[in-house]
Amino acid sequence: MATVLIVDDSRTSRKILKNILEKNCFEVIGEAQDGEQGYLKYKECKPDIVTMDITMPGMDGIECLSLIKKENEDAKVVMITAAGQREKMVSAVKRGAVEYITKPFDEFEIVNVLNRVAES
Amino acid sequence: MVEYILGNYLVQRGKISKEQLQTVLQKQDSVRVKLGLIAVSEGFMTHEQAEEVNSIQATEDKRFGDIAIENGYLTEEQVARLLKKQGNTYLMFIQTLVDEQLLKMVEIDDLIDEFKRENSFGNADIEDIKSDDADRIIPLFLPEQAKKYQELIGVAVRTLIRLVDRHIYIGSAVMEGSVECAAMVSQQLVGEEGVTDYFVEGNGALLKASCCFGQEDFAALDEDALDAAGELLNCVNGLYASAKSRQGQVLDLLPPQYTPSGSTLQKRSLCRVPVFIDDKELYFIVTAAV
Repeated sequence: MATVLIVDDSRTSRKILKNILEKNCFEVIGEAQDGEQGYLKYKECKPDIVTMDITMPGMDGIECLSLIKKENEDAKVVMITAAGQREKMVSAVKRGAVEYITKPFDEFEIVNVLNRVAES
Repeated sequence: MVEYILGNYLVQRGKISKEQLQTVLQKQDSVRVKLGLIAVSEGFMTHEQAEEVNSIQATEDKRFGDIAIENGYLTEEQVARLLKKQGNTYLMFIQTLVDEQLLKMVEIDDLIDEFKRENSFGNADIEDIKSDDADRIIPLFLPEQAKKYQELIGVAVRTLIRLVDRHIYIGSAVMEGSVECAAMVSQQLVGEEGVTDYFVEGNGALLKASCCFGQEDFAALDEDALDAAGELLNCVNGLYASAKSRQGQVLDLLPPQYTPSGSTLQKRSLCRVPVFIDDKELYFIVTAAV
């Protein structure tokens, strides 16, 4: 069972994502509400996959992604953001994000993407 | 949307009661089926294709039928056939009023004429309302100065219909310089044509939208409920930014902001659109970013 760390400033998004993942055989081993906390949690629980919201107050998802990739260049980070933020997605992919998911969450898409990432 | 606009007019005029309108709407609901479901049951699409179209709908502000055509799953003729099967909302509404013996056809025709006169609508406007197409209905409720926000308002209404409740309709929008607001969420879209938009509580619709989108029974519009409302606004703006980026414009979304205790919004020009979910009201407000 792949382990997942969810980094998102929205409690609603964390809750919906966690429900979807746990229903589909992923283990959510940590949650963080900003980039700084996300980086610390990553070092603490070493998840197989990180789902990372891009737009967060304070340290955003792209900065946190860079820190995680410095810590572990093989880290699998899936970026999450509202639709329409293509430039930020491109920037995240350049910094090593493996995939991205757009909000609002679609269970079918999330499970497909995370299964693909877990198997890669 | 048409059944609510005309239904509430009939209630206002005392032609039917609120309870009778609810009965009519429930009867109508029980026979209305989603387009994807009909397409699958007719054998035009597979479940997987319908799911895929639903996924695309999550990121693109487009109708099911349009996406299915673009992806080669349905032809225009098939979509037309499916829409026919799904039924015309206006005709179903009128038929149910008559079947329930609440009004006679001739009375309905007269009332629609009065509705047209009272709102200074022309024949084409009435046809737009009867079409039940949000894109055709929304402009009728916007003053001239608000037309520049029409695209964003359209995305907001369609997103609320898709993610919160199918039973949504809007009232006449107004331009104001100052608005007293109850609990609200806002988000800034930064770019050449940047705007700030808000979901503001009226008398319970924002709480209802938060519960529905957040998949939780919030007792009040507290921090958690507003977080859900903020995520909903984020989805609206993401879809709008996505549409704008296809037109070559870049809009950057800042994190949503929450104001649980409410405040007074004062800007040079605010466009306030009343949005109704069943009997409850919220406001979608848009203003140009400074």
